[in-house]
Amino acid sequence: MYNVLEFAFTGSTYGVARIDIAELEQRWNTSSVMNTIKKLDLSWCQSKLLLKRRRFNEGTNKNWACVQNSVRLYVKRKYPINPEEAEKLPVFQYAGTSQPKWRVYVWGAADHGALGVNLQLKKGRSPISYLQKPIVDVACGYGFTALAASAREKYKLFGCGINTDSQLGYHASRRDHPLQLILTPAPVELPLADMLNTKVTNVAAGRAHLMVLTDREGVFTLGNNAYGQCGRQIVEDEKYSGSQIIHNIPHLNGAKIKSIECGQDHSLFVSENGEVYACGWGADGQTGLGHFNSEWKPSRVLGDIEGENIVKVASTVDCVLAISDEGEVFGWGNSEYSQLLQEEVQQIHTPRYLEKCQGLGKIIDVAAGGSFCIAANDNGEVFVWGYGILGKGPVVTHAREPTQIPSTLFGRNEFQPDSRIIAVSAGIGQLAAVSNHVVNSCRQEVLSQTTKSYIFTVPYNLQITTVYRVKRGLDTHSQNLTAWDKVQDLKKKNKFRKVAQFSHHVQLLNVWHQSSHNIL
Amino acid sequence: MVYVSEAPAIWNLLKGVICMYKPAGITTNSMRKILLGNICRDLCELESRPPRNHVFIQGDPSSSLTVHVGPSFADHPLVVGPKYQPDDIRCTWGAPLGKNVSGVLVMGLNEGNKTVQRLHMQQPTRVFRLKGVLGQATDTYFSDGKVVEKATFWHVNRSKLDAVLASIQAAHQKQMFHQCGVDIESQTAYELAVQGLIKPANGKIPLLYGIKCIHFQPPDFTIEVQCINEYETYLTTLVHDIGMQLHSVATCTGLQCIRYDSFTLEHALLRKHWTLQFLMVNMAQSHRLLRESKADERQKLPTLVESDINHFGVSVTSDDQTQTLCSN
Repeated sequence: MYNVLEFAFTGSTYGVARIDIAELEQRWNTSSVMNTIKKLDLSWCQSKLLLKRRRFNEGTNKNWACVQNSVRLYVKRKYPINPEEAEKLPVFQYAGTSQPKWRVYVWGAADHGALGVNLQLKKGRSPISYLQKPIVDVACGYGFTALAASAREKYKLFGCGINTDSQLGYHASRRDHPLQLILTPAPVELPLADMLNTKVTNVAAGRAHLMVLTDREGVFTLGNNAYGQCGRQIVEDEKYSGSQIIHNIPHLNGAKIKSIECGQDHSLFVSENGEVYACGWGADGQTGLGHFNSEWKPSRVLGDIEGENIVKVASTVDCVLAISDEGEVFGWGNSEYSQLLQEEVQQIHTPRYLEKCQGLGKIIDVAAGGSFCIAANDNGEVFVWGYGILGKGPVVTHAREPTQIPSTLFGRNEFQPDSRIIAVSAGIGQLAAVSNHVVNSCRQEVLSQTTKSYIFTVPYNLQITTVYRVKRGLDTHSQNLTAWDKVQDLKKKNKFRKVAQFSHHVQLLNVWHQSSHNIL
Repeated sequence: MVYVSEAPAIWNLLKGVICMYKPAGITTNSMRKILLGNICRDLCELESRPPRNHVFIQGDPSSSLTVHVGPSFADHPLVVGPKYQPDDIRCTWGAPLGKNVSGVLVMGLNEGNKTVQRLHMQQPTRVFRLKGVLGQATDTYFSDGKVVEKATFWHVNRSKLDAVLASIQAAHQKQMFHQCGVDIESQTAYELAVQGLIKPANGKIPLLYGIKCIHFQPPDFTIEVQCINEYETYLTTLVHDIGMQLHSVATCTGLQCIRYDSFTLEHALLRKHWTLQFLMVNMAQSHRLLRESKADERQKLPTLVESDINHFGVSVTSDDQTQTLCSN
């Protein structure tokens, strides 16, 4: 009960107020409740809000019904309104200019600290102040989270969650006792040559490794390198826990790196001239280098993508998709569920042009999940194929050919005829899409679905406005339903700039225009 | 044009659906009384049959009796009252409008009540214009209440208001799936969701389909809402909530229903036209409108039909027009 009330107020825009409801329950009557509310020194609107939220949370509670009645009685007018009284009222100012502009939303399993909110769960902790800077990218690995901040400061990268392989850098509270779990976002120091001016633009996370892309100093890799996924030479029996190694890949054959992507144990790079490089585990051909061996040196991927200007590669587990600037789709890696080719070939070690994506229009975004793929074209239509719950209802299906998810499920209707999907993402077991629905100003929604036996078997509007991007990472466990409920309570009118979905059933929505971490 | 001067002929035609413009400030029930009073007044002014004759047999029965035939006082208006009285007419409405709401109100007369009820059971959508003022909150959520709180609103701009409205619209469209009456995990729910906008199974739960701002000039703003199962307090609290979400406070200053099913403002009779002559024309017009929208053939569908969706978006009027409409 204590929590519920407190939440009602943190959710509101007016700050935190607390009531000792336990004390109230002892002698529960209308006057005591009203007196307590008066003691809070709330404005009229706030007390109404409190009552409303309380009512919402508790349903039919007789005691609260009597509070409600007392408010209603108050509305019955005993004396005529004196307009002079209104003139005397103070003018509140609820809008503040000092509020941080960024807000991060998280949900899912918090067991390993990947949500970074463990300290927040304790009452009375103030939001983590050093993170209140523009977050430009977020990435989620297997139970860990990395956040890239845009700041002319020493710390531009933050991480929380599992750190057994030093994928979030070296953190030790005592000497020689490295932390294996980080419960709140901790700053990760990158060995940057130009500490102030270099910006972190992109982060990508795999099973136990992390890649950080900077605008002028290339890529930095951290964490497990058992298969060469960090782009450095494999060392037999290397001890990753407590490792302080951060490897730098400044360029690829002289070309600047434009974007990065991590699969489970492999890494992919796209250079500015549209070439793709890969390193790491290749047992399913996910490196696309023409063999099934692990490769530590980032090497150029050839095959059908040779000569094409690749703009994006997408991989979550071991199936890789790539799109060219002309909107053509290529793929390599695991194809157990016919994600890539028609014929029954389980592993493809060389990039192949996907003929099944012909005729879908110009593809602008793709994502490859554990057993399925999703693509969005320039008309904002979404196509899925593969095996699993594909957004076609709760029945598990196997689609060899791309099938469209009806646009109505993504909010295209008579009142939003211009609603379309602008980005898609996939985890091992979930799919997500960002729709661009413009109502005078930018407004976008995240629509998400999971393959788990929970309620979101149809695309589900998370009701988040102005989303910039969605990311989904690896996911092996089931969705935490209570966490989902929390998200639904977050329905705010804020402008969201970016959404990222973390591995380990963590989603993190990175929001513009509101304070960070002020959510639980 | 057919001229009818006989009250019984009119009376027999007095069955159908009428579309009225309800002014703000009077309840639907008092509006009904005014309407019926007007109808009866006009009917009584028409030609009606003369009073029935009464046969008087007078005289001494033992001698001779005389038979007179004269007008019966038991049938005389001065004795028994007017020929047509409000209680004689059955008149109800499908969806009522609150006291402070003005706008389109569809009512039934005599046999027309059935049509109105059937229309109401189909849960047609309604479009409202809500006028609000930023900066103050009253205890009734409406401008007639006592001002209980004041707040600044300098930070509110059009794009922020639009973002709030968009968020509300998204919230309600999400809620739509929960209220459709089927298990959200089932294949049935999926097939329903594919069809697009759906109606709530419960007739008590308000749901907004579309909401947008059509006029913004701080502190005044006007929003247009396409909704179902709404009621007056719901709409006034909606304005209040919008104010709070904008980090300010707001009060509703005017509510106007501009569409109910296929009935729009242009079909609605203003108060000065609540006379028998205009009512008869309006009844014929309503009949035509219902026939065109095939209201009789329609069953209650789980999804929105064409008449639920049209007329939204065409109502982007100029600010002057909006203000005139809302002040009516």
